[in-house]
Amino acid sequence: MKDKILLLIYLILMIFISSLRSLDILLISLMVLFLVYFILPLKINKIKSVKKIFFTVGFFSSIITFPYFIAGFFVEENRWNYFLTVNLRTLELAFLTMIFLSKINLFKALDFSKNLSMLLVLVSGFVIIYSKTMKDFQDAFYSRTIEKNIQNQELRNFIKRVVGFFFEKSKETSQETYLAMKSRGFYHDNT
Amino acid sequence: MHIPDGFVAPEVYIPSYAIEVFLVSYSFKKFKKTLEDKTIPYLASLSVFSFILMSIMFPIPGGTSIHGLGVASISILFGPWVSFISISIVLFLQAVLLGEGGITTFPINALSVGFVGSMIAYYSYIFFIKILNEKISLFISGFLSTILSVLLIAIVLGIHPILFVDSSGKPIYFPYGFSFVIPAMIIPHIIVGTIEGLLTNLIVLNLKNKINER
Repeated sequence: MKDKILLLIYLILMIFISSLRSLDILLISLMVLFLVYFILPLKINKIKSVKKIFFTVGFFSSIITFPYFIAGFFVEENRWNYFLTVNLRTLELAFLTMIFLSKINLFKALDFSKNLSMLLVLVSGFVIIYSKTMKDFQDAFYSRTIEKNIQNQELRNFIKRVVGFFFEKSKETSQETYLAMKSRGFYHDNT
Repeated sequence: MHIPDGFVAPEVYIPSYAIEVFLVSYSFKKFKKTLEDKTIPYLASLSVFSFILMSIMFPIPGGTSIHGLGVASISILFGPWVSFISISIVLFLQAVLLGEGGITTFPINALSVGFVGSMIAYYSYIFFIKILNEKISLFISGFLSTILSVLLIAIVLGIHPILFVDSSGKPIYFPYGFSFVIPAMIIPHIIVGTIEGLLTNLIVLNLKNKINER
C-alpha cells in the first residue's frame, strides 16, 4: 500500500510541477526538492545522479532552450524568463523522479494488475541478462575487427548472428517462463 | 526520442496517458483471448527481443553510431499489436528504470513510435508487397514507420507554442512551431529511417524462415 500511495503522490506532484509557470514558486520548490534529495536516505549514488541530471538538462537546454533564448536577441525580445522557467521545471521534474523512483517499489506499486506487474518483473529481469549477453557479443565482434574498417558484410553477418541468437533465446525463454509460472501456480491463483 | 520532462504540457501528456492505457489494455485483452496462459511469457520475451533490436548499433561516417528501433521488424514478423505492446513496455522500463526519456513524454513516445510506427510498418508492408519486391517493401516500411513516428512527435511538440502561451504570447513549454520543428526533426531522422529500413530488411528476411518453421 505504501508504494501505491507514494506513486499517487509522485503523479500529483509531477502534474503540479509541470503546470508551474511562476519563476518564484519554481525556485522555492526546486530548493525544497534539492534539500529533500540530499537529506533523505536514497539507495542511489547521489553525486553521480546529480551530475547525470545536470548533464541531461544541460544537453537539452543547449539544443532547445538556449538557442531560443539567443534568438531572442535578434528579434529584440527578452526570453530570459522562458529560459529559466523551462530549465528549472525540467530540473525539478528530474529531481522529483529521482527521489520517488528510488523510494517506490514499482512492481508493488503497479500490482493492482497482477498481469502488468508480472510482465514488468519478467521483462526487467530478462533485460539485465540479455543486455550482458549482448555486450559480450559486441565486445567479441569489436575485439576481432578494426573498428574503423568494419566491412559491410562483416556487420551484416554480425547482425544476422545476434538477431538469430536472441530470437531463439526469446522463444526458449517464453516456453521456460510459461512452464515455470504454471508450475508455481500463477495461473491457478489468477483464475 | 529522448525528450526530457518539462517541455510537454499536462494538457497533452495526461490525455496521451489515457489513450496509451486504453490501447495497451485493449491489445492485452486481445492476446489473452488467443494466447490464454501464454500471453505474459510471450509478450515478455518479445519485449526483451525488441529491447535487443533497439540496442543494435549501426556505425555511420564520422566515427559515431546510431541505433535502429526494430519496430518495423517486430510489427511485420509478429503483428502490429504485439509490436505496440512490446515497444510500450520497453519504453516504459527505459523511462522508469534507466532514466532514458521522460515520464511525461513516455506516452507520446509510446503512441508515436509504438502505435503509429507499428501500424505504419505493418500496413505499408502489406500495401507495397503487392506492387514491389520484398526487399524494397521491407525497406520502405522501416523507413516510413520511423519518419511518420517522428512527424507525429514533431506535430505534438510544434503545437505547444500555439496552444500554451502566457499573457504576453510567449511560449510556456516547447518553444518552436511547426515550420521549425518539423524539418529540424525529420531531416536528421532520414538517416535513422534509412538504417531502420536496412535493419528491417536484414532482420525480417533472416527470421522469416525460422518463424515459418515453428
